[in-house]
Amino acid sequence: MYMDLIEEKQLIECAKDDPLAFGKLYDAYYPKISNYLLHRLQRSDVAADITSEVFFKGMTKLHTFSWRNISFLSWLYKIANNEIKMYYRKKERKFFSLEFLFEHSYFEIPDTTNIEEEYIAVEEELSRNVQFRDIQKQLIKLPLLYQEILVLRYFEEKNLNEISEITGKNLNTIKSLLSRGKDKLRKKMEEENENSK
Amino acid sequence: MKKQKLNISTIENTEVKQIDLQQHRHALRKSLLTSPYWEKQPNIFIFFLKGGENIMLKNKIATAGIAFTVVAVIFVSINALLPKNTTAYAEQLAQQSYQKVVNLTPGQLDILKQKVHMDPSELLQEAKNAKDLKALTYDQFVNEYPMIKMGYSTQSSNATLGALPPHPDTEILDMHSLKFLAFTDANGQKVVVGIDQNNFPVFAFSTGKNGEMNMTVHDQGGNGGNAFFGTMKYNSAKPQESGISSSDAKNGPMRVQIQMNDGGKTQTITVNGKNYAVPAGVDLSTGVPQIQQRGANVYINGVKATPAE
Repeated sequence: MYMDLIEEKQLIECAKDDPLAFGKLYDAYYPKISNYLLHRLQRSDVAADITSEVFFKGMTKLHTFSWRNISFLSWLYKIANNEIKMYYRKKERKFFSLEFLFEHSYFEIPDTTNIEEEYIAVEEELSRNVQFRDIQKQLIKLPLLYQEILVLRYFEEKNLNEISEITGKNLNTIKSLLSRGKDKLRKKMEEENENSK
Repeated sequence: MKKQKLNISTIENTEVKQIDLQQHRHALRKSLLTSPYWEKQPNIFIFFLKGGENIMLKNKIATAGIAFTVVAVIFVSINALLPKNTTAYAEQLAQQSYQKVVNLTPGQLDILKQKVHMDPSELLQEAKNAKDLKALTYDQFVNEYPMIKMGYSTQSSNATLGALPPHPDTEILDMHSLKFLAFTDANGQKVVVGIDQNNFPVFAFSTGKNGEMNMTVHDQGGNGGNAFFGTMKYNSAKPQESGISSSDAKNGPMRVQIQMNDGGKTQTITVNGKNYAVPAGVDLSTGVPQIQQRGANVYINGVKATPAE
């Protein structure tokens, strides 16, 4: 679900102090962010935890957001990228999983049983897409910078301008990273093909 | 199942189905929207952030303006509070004066050399190179050199130095308006240069290790004016003795000696080898007196001195 620019701007202003307005933004962008994280990370529980963190930050930092340089969705992607970096930098870091949110912010605790079952189901579903799983296995061997660009380009189908907005890098840099990233991925794939002979 | 061979076109052709984490989405939504965060909205920001992008921009510009003003006020305050004898200020003053001097025409420079009795560009170059260069205010200057209190005056036939009102014919160099540079020259002498408001050196003097003081002064008297230069010797541990000489195109050099013994109780003034009684009311211990030679007469602080036997 996408909304037009004017509607989104008004919604963002309202969402700074109105939970219902924030709920509309959440509904619009949760699928994009959660899927991006599922594509970037092999574990669905980690992807879900980081999704929680992205929207928690999106809610509490919304007053710092302005429309001048970056769209709201790109801003959420940016937060997601930062959180992924944090995750890889310090894997034991405790993310704002729903339980954690409840303990520290008095959020209502949901029944997590169904959610855990859902994580398993999601991983199974992703595993059925053999092509995706094989590529993902090779992708995560690349430096984060290339992972970010390649996933945004090929799984999220972002154009170069959008990738530039999300990463804060200029178009030429994006083109160059994309080209080098593909080269590196090709090498990894060839190595994998050699090993599996 | 046989494993498909991986190649780079795979990534471009792979279709990834959108997955809905429905349970997580609902749970997170409920948690976020019912969070106490919404009750704790920082009201202080509401005024600040409402009104959209334009107001945000204005507010940011205003904030930046306030921050800039605060920084500027702090900067100005620090500069105002810092004493002017900082090395940087002294270096700047020496440089400015040097620039003024080197920009003079050769003719103007010659006139200035004659007036100052030394090469002002060399003097200022030496000041610039000095490691201990400092700038003095008038108060700091008179504290360090109490023998010179108010200023000099020069006229065609007289050389005067002192704190008392000058003779009407003389022109006063108002030392209050001067800036002073102090430094040690290559010979180890302490040098002080007076710089006027136009950044020209107007006088300079140096003191040697034995207390000898050599002084030059810019001629303020115009045509027929007479540059004063003198030598003073003083030593607080011994009876004070000052010798002043003046070159005079008309009358030749005037040689003055002031001797004070017993803490200034006994005072003798000798002008060109002739002794004069110190006029009543003149206290030589408070500073160098104004001595003028008009024709055959000598005036001390404007009072005609009587030759002593």
